[in-house]
Amino acid sequence: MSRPQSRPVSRPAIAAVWASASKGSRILVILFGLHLVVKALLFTQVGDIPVCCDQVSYDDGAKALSNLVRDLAGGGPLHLAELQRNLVGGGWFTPGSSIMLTPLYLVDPDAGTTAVRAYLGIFSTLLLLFTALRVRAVLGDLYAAILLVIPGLIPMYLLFSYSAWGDLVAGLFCTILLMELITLMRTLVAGAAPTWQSGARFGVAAIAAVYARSSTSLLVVGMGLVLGLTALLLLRGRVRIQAVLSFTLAGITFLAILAPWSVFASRTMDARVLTTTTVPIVLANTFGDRDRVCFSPCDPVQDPGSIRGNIWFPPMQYSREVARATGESEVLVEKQMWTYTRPSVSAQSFTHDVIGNFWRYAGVPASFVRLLTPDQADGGFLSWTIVIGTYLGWGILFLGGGALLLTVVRRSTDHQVISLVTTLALGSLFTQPFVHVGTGRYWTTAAPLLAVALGLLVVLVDARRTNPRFSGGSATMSPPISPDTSAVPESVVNRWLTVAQAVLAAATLLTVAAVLVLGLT
Amino acid sequence: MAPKSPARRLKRWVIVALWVLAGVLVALSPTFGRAEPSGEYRPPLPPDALTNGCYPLPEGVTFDFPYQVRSDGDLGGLRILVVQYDLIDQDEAVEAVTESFLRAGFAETPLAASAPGRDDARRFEFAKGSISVTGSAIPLVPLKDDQLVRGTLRLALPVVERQSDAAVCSDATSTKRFTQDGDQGGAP
Repeated sequence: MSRPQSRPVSRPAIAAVWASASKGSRILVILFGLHLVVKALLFTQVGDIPVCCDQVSYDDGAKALSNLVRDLAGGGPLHLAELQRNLVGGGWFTPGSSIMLTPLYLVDPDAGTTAVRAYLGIFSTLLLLFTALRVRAVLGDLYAAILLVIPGLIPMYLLFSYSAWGDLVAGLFCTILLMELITLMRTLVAGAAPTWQSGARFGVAAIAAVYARSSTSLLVVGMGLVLGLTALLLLRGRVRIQAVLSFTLAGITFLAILAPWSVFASRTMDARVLTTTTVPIVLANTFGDRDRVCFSPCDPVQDPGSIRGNIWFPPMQYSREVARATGESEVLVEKQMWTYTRPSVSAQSFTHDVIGNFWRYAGVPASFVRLLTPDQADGGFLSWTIVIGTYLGWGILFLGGGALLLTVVRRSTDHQVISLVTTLALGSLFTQPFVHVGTGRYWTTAAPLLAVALGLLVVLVDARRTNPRFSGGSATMSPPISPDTSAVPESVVNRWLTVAQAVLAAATLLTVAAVLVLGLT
Repeated sequence: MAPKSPARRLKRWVIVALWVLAGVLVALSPTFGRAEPSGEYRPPLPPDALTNGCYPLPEGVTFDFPYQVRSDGDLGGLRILVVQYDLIDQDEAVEAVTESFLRAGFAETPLAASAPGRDDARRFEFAKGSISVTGSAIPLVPLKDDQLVRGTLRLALPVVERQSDAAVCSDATSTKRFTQDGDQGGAP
């Protein structure tokens, strides 16, 4: 791209800004514009498709939450039963998606399908923009550009961005959290103490991810542990205390925002609920012998394809029936259902199911195309474009970015830090097939993190060339603090970062090998 | 403190304006009406199959121990009802079932010595006039001490017609009549 001639006086303000912008900024603006164009085009397909499945729950939760805000603002009586039934329900989901939709229903209580879809689309695009800006500020233009292309232009990703399933939004929050983590790690590696604000920001990003989708809990907890351990290992004296206090604030922020949900859900379910109640039922339904889940086969799924026509409702109704008969909490019943089913799980059956789950997690990224664009169900041109574009984009992202899991980076401390924390983040997301039936929308959580991984690999490959294009300048951002005040010499830090990456790569290889050997024999 | 740049001041004003806007919208929200959640993802639990008035037990028999019906349907001229009992053990379950039938005027029938069945099953048989009822109680395996659901009752009963046209009688999640022999909404 050539730099236009500068005529600042006669140009309108926007053109002047454009002229003075860096090449990287201009490319990012163009990519974001492309994202908007493709996204707007896809709105014509999904705009009037009513929300289905779990989205019904999120939608109901948002309506009930908007009524709660109304009641609080108007000083009227609170409709807690409505909130319990619609927001908590069976305790399956954290309330992030409902909170996301609440402002819409607050302003327009009767908002229809098109308004809901448009609102979700605008929200997700603003969040993608914010994420890209954070990625750019922490890692540089190249990483942000990759994020805006894959997943930012992957057709199914854009279709999902009009849905209320929290997976995609959770992935963006995880990416924002990752940027906070990298910033904090840079501070720690440089031997400095993080500020209060950065601790609080970390806590907010962490709880946002968990609220959007509780499947990010492991990632969030893992990142917190990495931070705490790093601070204890690298820092000494007063700086260490400051760091610990800052991370304590992160934890307090996280818990303070989680608490209202946990308390309300626990009271509703008459059991201790931290995030959701689903783990036992999910494990039983995913890995157990289906003939034992309800201490017998569960009831057949009623009206497959209807709102409640899925494998999760019969076990839930069963647990409610036992709870009604015995006076115990349905959550306790669900735990016992898993306990009863567990002996039917063998190493072979478990790993076999894991392989199936992983395939559905990563191998069928366009499986929701009919659900989101029923008008294209006959397999027309647009439908094929969506499917092929999705497989192409996701394929590059998954194989390219996923390669970081097996890569040990030694180039610089900063690259090592990015590699380590991104690997950890991806690894913790990829544990999902080990606990949950896979589906073709979970990949949207991992997608933006894979974009960061891909960015790092592009930088590393590029740096080996004689004339690297991306290894400096605004394409990649180096840490603002030079690592010379650390209590631990940089060479030692490097060594441990190398060891940690090698251990993770070995663990990944071993896990994959073990699952394949056990599951396919 | 260093003076703030115009861009920062603008950003601050935008943030303040957004908060004010949010506050105004919240304050006005009660005047916009109420949203109506569907509650479809948390439907009310349908009534139990034996108390919903659709396919009652014979002669007004009622169970007064904790149970849930797992399936109900007609097979070979008999009504086969599968019920799980909770909180009590096999002996107590048999006792409770026996009591229920005796209370309704049934009498216990002596069991044939060589009846087929599982070793751990306890069988029972009741009769009242021409009506006869057979069944068994089988504990779940494994059976942990704190396990709520403890065993299964299988009852062979006389076939009963649907007693009501209420909507609930067409709801298989309530009647537990899932098979073609059962009733999912058609005429009995």
